[in-house]
Amino acid sequence: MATFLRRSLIAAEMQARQLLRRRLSLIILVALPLALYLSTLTNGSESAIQFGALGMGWSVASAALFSVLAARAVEPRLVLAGYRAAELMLGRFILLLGMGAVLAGIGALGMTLVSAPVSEAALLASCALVPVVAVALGLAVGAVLPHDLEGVLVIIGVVGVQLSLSQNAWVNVLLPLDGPIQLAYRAGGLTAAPIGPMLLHALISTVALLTLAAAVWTRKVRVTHPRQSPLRAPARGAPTIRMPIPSWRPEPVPVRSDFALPQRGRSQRRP
Amino acid sequence: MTVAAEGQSGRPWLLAPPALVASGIVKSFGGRPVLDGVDLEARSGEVVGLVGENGAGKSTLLRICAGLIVPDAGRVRVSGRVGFCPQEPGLLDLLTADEHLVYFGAALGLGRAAAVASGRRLLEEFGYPITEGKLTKRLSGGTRQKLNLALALLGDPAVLLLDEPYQGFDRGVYVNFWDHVDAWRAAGKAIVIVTHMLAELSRVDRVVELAVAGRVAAGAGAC
Repeated sequence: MATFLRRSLIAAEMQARQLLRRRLSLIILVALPLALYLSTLTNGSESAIQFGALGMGWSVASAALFSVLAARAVEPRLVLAGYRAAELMLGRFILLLGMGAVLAGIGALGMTLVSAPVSEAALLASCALVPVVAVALGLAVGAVLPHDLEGVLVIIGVVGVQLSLSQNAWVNVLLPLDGPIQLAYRAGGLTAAPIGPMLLHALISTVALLTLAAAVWTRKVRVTHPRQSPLRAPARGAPTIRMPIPSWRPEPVPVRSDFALPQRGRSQRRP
Repeated sequence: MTVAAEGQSGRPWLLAPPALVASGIVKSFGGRPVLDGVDLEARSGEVVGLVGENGAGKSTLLRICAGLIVPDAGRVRVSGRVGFCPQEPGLLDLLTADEHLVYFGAALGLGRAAAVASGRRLLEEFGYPITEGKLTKRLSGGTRQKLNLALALLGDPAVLLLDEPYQGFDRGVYVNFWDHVDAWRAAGKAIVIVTHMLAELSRVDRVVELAVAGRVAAGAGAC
């Protein structure tokens, strides 16, 4: 267990180092939800909260997506070296949750000060849950879709549909970020619906998406044969057939640039 | 009943147990056959050169041997840990060489200091003494390849699968690379090298050629 945790933390650290070196990306990760929130403030501070929360989800899901895609070429090799896929997944989850928590903290503080929410508890719950669901969404999309363009389009689609739907549309329930977004509606005083189903929706979405991400990613980075499969030398005293060494000798290979490959058509001769 | 081969002087690896056995490997991509019943074997202390035209399936066979691709049919068995050096360096652009060593070293149970010390020793042997904390994306192609190779060697694997590992090496380091191959052979590693450098085939113990459509066309020794 200690080894599992240590490796997961190393994976989280290495991914954090990479993320922190992408300064422009970090700025955009903060600027995107801020821009969405501020641009909708003119329509009324109640609805601005949901846009701010959705912007945070968009940022975090995109960061999660690209963390998966960036590691696609390397992680099979890390698994071959000895990591478990679950250790790498947990490391990524820890890092992204940490990043999401920072973003959510900034967002919750800013929106509390500017928008004066009707329910501060609902706002805090929304800001706390948005990164959790968004990380799961980004990891799942990154694991399932093979290329960055498809992944980005799916995330834009999910966020865009959520933005365009009215609060009470039945389709909302199918969207992964709906739980925390409904909490944001409640924080703005746009609904008085009970919090329980919203929390349950967030929980189910997170578990379902993480399960999908783990199942697909583990399959993609797996090493397919046993790492240690003893192939033993003949045991002492075991019945043995002695095979003569083939009498042929290889032709010397000339050191020439026009050297031709061995002629085809011969069967492989093994010593 | 056990089958053994009787060795002769100059071929000590004939007495060694097989460290890698791939048998009857079949692989198609999109309905196009790439490998069709290929066998490959490498014993401890043996260097096998894997040659063939572009598209013959050399890299695919190596990735199957490493366990990174599932064959449609066939079986791979390995004894000991596998070190794999892919043709395209699988590196993280925004990490330094030392950070790569720590990351990969943790997989092998090495602490930070041990991983960095071990990796730096390997890199110095390849002519890349780490004196700065450059990000990998700022390293030259040859230097990236040295790091790629060092990561494959980290933790002293028993089986080495090297897919054109000298891409971008300058001449001095390239010649030096084959001296390292001799040393790894002497240390008892089973080594499979995909290579287009036919002039160096005299330095391998056995050559396996893959024809297009992935059949073993010929095998020859080059001791």
